Amino acid sequence: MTRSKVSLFLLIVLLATAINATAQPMDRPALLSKIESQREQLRAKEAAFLLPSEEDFASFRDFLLQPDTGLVRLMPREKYDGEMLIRGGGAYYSFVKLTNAYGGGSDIALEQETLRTGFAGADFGFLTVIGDVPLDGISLDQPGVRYLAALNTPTTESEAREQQRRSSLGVEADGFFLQKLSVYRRQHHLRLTFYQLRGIRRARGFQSHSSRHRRKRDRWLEDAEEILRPDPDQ
Amino acid sequence: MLKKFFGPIPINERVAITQPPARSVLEDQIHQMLTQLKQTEQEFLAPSDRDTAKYAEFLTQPDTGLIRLLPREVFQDELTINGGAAYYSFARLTHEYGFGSDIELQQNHFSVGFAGADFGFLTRLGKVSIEEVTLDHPAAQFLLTFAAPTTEPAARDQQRRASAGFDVNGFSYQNRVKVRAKNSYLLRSISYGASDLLVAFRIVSQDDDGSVVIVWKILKKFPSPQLTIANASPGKV
Repeated sequence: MTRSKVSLFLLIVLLATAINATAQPMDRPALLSKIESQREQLRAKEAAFLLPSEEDFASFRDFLLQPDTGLVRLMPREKYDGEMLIRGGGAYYSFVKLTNAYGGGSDIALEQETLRTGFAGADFGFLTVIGDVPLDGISLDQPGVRYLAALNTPTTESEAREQQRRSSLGVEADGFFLQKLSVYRRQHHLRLTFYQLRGIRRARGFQSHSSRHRRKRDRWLEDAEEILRPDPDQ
Repeated sequence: MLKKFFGPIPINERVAITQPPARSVLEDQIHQMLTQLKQTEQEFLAPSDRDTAKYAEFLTQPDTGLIRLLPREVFQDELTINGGAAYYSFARLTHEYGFGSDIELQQNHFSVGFAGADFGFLTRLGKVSIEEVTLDHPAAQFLLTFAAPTTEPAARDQQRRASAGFDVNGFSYQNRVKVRAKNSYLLRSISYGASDLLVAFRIVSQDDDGSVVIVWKILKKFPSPQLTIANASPGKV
């Protein structure tokens, strides 16, 4: 009888210890692992959210086979900045780094129905609306593009600041108005409206990444197609 | 691949689903996941029950708190909190960097003065309890009587002075001090257009991940400092 009482007591102690153990908060390394895991899942979810639609990919499939091309979605900054894990809320894009993440140099942003360029330090740029023309028809020597193609990148901060002021006020060239921002007109189909952008950034030691860009873009397209392809097992 | 991005699909829905979820569904999921992530981060930031219990009585006083600072060099881009919870504002009671912060933990050092003309002074008092650090402490006298400059050149002079470090009445003041276990510190943080505080704090514990738990008390709130427009701009860099 005594032995069974002792056994019962030990069992209760064991159970109480187990219950107490489960009631303890997670230790810090476990919490850190949980944070990393949650971030990874969130990043994947946001990548899917940022992807253009299957129809848009299909529309530009041939175009996207060319080098230095892409299809991206920009989120309105006023709604998504701070509401997503990606810095800038998917409102920015870097054509150099091929990422929506802000920081370290972004080329374009969408905010309050306006496209913008030139965000930090002495960085600046010009945007202009070319009009309803197909992307494939744009050439470097046509009006509206010529000015941007011929623009010499300043090498001193004072010259860059002067260009910043010019881009804020806006300049006219060949009958086109170029500025650091341009109102995004909803009634224009994006496919038919081409926003020519020339962005100048401080030298950050960027090297020529053309082959790396191609590989990254190819991986990105493969991922996009994989995500958008219906799962045959479902 | 779909499973990877959109999570497991309930068995009873498997036949019907052939397309990715609608964007509104994805957006809701992102919102929920972000909320959960922020909750986990708050758990990660919370001081231990043991540290909280140790200072339970002290924390009943007004203008006191117990917080954890994470080392900036480790967590800068690893949390949703701007600054990776390396910063804290005793005025706004938040780790979020960007609207005026009073203290930073980086490379096993505390520092003050992060943007524009903001600056501050830190001094280490040694192993004294937080209760012992009052306005009557000899090291508090300089910090208590220091008048915040009202012009940008004068503020920049004080920034330089704080960077170099200086001694007053046998105490060393600088904008950066080393983290030392169980030591107490005094901090005067001047954030233009926001706040000007004299704070005492003590290191309660330090974890293996480099994070530091401090208990703190605001000893004095000065009027919000302003820079005169004629000579300077209070704009932050």
